[in-house]
This record gives sequence, structure tokens and C-alpha cells, in this order.
Amino acid sequence: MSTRATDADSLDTRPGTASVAVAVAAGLVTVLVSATTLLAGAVGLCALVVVSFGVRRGSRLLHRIGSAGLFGAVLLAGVAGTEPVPMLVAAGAAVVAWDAGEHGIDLGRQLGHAAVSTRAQLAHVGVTVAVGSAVAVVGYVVYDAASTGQPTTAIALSLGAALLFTYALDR
Amino acid sequence: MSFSSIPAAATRAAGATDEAAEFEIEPGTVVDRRTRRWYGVTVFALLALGVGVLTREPGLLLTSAFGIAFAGYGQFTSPPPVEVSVERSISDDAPDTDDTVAVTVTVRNESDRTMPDLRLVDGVPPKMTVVEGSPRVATALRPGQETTFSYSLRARRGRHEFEPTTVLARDASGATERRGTVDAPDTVGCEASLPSQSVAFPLRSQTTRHTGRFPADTGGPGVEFYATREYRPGDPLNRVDWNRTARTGDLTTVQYRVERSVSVVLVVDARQAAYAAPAPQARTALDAAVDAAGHAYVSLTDAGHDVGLTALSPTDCWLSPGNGDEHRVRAREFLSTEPALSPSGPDAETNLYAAVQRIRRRAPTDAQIVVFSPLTDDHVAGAAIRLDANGHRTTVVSPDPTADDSAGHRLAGVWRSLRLADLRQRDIPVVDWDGTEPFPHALARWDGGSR
Repeated sequence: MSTRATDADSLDTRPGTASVAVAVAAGLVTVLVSATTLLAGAVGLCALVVVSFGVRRGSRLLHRIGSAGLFGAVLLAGVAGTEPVPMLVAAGAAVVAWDAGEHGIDLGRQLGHAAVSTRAQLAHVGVTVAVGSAVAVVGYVVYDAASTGQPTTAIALSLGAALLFTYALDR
Repeated sequence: MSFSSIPAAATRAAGATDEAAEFEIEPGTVVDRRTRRWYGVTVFALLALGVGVLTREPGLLLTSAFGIAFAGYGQFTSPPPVEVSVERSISDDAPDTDDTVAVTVTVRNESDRTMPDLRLVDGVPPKMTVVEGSPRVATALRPGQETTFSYSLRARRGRHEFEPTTVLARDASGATERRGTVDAPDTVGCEASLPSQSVAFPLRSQTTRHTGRFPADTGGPGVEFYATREYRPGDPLNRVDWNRTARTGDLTTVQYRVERSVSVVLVVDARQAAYAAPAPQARTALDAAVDAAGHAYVSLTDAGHDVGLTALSPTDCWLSPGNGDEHRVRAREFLSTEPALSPSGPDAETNLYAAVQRIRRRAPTDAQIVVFSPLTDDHVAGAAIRLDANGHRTTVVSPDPTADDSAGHRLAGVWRSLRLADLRQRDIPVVDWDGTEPFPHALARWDGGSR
């Protein structure tokens, strides 16, 4: 009946505040930018509420549902014919919201709320934002250089990226 | 230090994220795990691609390209090597029981790559409790950079070794998690101090040869008048009752009540069964028994008796009966750091018969025996009866580990009280102690039982 006495028995698994703040802020950006139609705005708003609940409580399921909602809002805005730049911003913000929330929930589950982790959270979000911005800028420049606005260019780009991705998966 | 066990905290960390990740990692080796955290973004990108092709919206298609590139990003990063050094500074490596020990850990990135996401779970000794702060940290470290975190532990009796520190290093995208351990051996030895106050520890009446403070039921040299008897050649002249000789003409010798010291062997039950506790984090019966043995040792040696210590345990341990300052130091060490009395419990079964035989072989023939046992099974009660029958006057001190929160626990409590009743019926005094109140109170409340 010997027991292992660590604080893990009462581990508080809520994510750190930095992750919560970043996830909610990025989600808000997605909602604001993608709210070009009433439907996209409504879906985005609901998703934002679910995301903030999920991240605050460290619930992975709620966070996933909310993030899917944010991506859905971006898709709806795209269907309604939103311009490429706002689309990239909205999608980037949705990715950041998802990434920051997921990272925070992971940290909370592994290390607990009491552990010092702000630096790791901020570093991770920083890298994600930097990579996202770079990808978006490169993507837009290529798209703009081909600038007839032909969807075919975008399709070619997508396919190129998809090829790279498949290559990476096979490694 | 054993490398074969994963630190408890690490097991917990693994269990929290990945239920199947209960594997052992030796220091120096690493295990990689794919987190698959970008799969959701891939799904979104492919959806956007499909919808974009259907609606011919350039924005959607560009977004899709963006998403796919992001998914690919997760594949192109690789986790850094787990080359960190962990250094612990411990405020007090020989604390007293229940002291707070501050631990400060310095982690340094020894590799030449930046660690964008470094998580560390320090190998807190399994029996220590973290009372303040957290033994876990997450940070990002450039090559050569270091970070410091600290937490406090509550000291418990025994030698505690820090286990290897678990390190989780993720790449920047978080797609791969590399898990390793870093060996940073440190030890905290917590010696329980013996109580300073002695109490009236009940011994049974005794017949023995050596002078001491315990009044025996025999006549001889002493202080208190006991009896007179006919003079025998060799009796000292100053003990002859001259008044009586003057009156009757016969030589008579006065005898006084002899006060004798007693050898006492304190036997602590340290079998697996004695590690029972009323609640998962509560004090085990063994810890209570060691506490009580400390009180008994101090009280009995203060009263002039020779006291020895031993345990009913898989490993052999013995401190011969003795007295004095040096012996007290050894007794303190015995109760604090003897492996047989370690707070974490033995892995092996105890051969109780052999343990009792060892005690019989070593204990002085007239030694009294005090058994400290929770009496959670019949065997120790049987051993006490056997020792008593072999001429060692035996007393049992029993810390109560039973709880009454379920029918099974209550039944165990009933069985235990039946064992106590059985022992008392056989004229073996039993001190029933609930283990929460101070031991001297339990002794004071005790009516003395049958002597």
C-alpha cells in the first residue's frame, strides 16, 4: 500500500495564460477578418466562444471543435468571394489560434498550471507566427507575380505545395 | 541509483499526454514520438483546395496552398538532441522530518542547437512531497543558455535519491517530441530526531541479574526493605540484623528489594503488510511504528535499561541492546536510515519464522521484547505469542492503520481488534494507538493492560 507522494495527484492541468491569451486574440482576428457574410461571422463567433472555453479549461475536445469552427468560418468567407489577402490573414490567424491553444493544452497536461512555461509558450507562438507570415508573404508574392488573377496559378501553387508535403510524409 | 525505473513524475507526464507511453528510457538514449498536431491543418487545406476548385475562388485556393505549406513545415523540422545538463542545489541535504527543503535546478543547453521547446520534469524522490512550486518547467534555450527553477519538498524519514530528470524536447513546429532522461544523482538523507522527552513506557515485571531502576520481585542489595532470612556464610556483615541477633541470638540477614535493569529489544514490523495507511497520502503504520520505537528507546534508556533494535523484514538488521550516548546515536541512525525500515517498503516477502529465530538467537535470554506492528495479519500476533512463550516477556504496540470508509476497511478493522483481544487474553499487553495523536498521549491513556 506504499504510495508515491508527488504533487501530480492534484495536478492542475489548465494551460498557461499566455497560450490562452494568444489563442483567443488570434481567434478574434479570424472572426473579424472572415466576417464578410453574416453566416461566416456567426459561425466564427460561436467557434471563438468554444475555443476560449476549451483553452481556458484545458479541454482538447472543445478546443478542436472550436478550431474546426474557425476554419469553417474561413472557408465560408472564401466561398463568398473574399479577397486573397484577408483570406490569408484569417487562415493564418486561425492556424495560430489552433496552434497556440493546442500547445498550451499540451503543456498544461504534461507540466501542470504551476510550472513556469511562459517562455516556451511565447517562443512557440513566435515561431509559428513568423513561419506563417513568411509562407503567406511568399505565397502572395508568387500569386501576385503571376498576377493575371487566374485561379490556375493558385492551383499550380497548391499542387506544388501538396507534392512537397507528400515528399515530406514519405521521409 | 537505479536506472531501471522511470521517475514517477515522468510516468505521470507520459500518462497525461499519451496513455500508451509507459516505456523506460535509459539516460543517454532518446525516444521520438510524432505528435501529429498538424493533421488538422492538412484537412483544412485539402478542404479549401476542393471547395476552391469547385467555386473557382482564388482566395480559397491561395489559402489552401498556405495550409498545405504549413502542414509540410511540421515535417521539415527535426527535434534537437537531448544534450542538457541538470544541476541541483539543495538547501539542506540532511533535514529533519517535516522540514521544508528548497531545491533549485539549473538546466543548461549543452548542444549547439537551439531548443525551441524544452520541457523538464525533475526526478523528485518518490516518497517526498512537493509543497511549493513545481518540479516541472518548460522553456526555450539557445545553445549555452541556462534557466533556473525551484520548488520545495517536505522531508520525510529515510534516504531519498533523486531519480533521473525527464526531458522532452520538441522541434519548433512541435511535430516531433523527443524524450530522454538526464542523470543528476542527488541524495537527501533525513534523519528523524529522537524525541527529547521520555515517557513512562510500560514494561512487564522482570527477574534479572543487573542493577537498575526497575523494581523486581526479589530480595537482595537495594534500598527498599524486602525481607529477612537466616544468615548464610558469605553474607556481608553490615547486612546482618544485629538488633535481632541481640534479641534472639540468631544471625539474620536483611534483604532489600532489588532494582534491576532490563534488556529490551524493540522489534519493528517492517513487512509489506506494515506499510498500510488509512489513506493514500497518510502516514504508514511503519512510519508510526518507527516514531513509537523512538519514544520507547528514549524512555527506556533514560530509565537505565539496555535497549536494542531490530525489524521483521526481508533483510537482516540488528542493533544489540545498549545504552549511553554513542548507542543513542547509532539508534537514531538505525531508525532513520536502516534500509529495512525505509519508507518505501520492501519488494520481497519476509520469512517471519526466520526473522523470529534470529531475534531469539541474538536477544539476551531474559530480554523483554516490544513488538511494533499494525497487526494487519495473524502472523505477527503469532510471532509475539511465540516470543512470549519462549520466555521473552513481550509487549505489543500497535499503530492502527485501518480506515472505516468502506465495508472492507471496516472488516479489516474488526479483524485487527479481534487479534488485539486475542493477545490480551494471552496476557500480552497491547497498546492500541490510532497513529494520529502523539504516542505519549496514547501511552498516558493506556490503562496499563495486564502485566
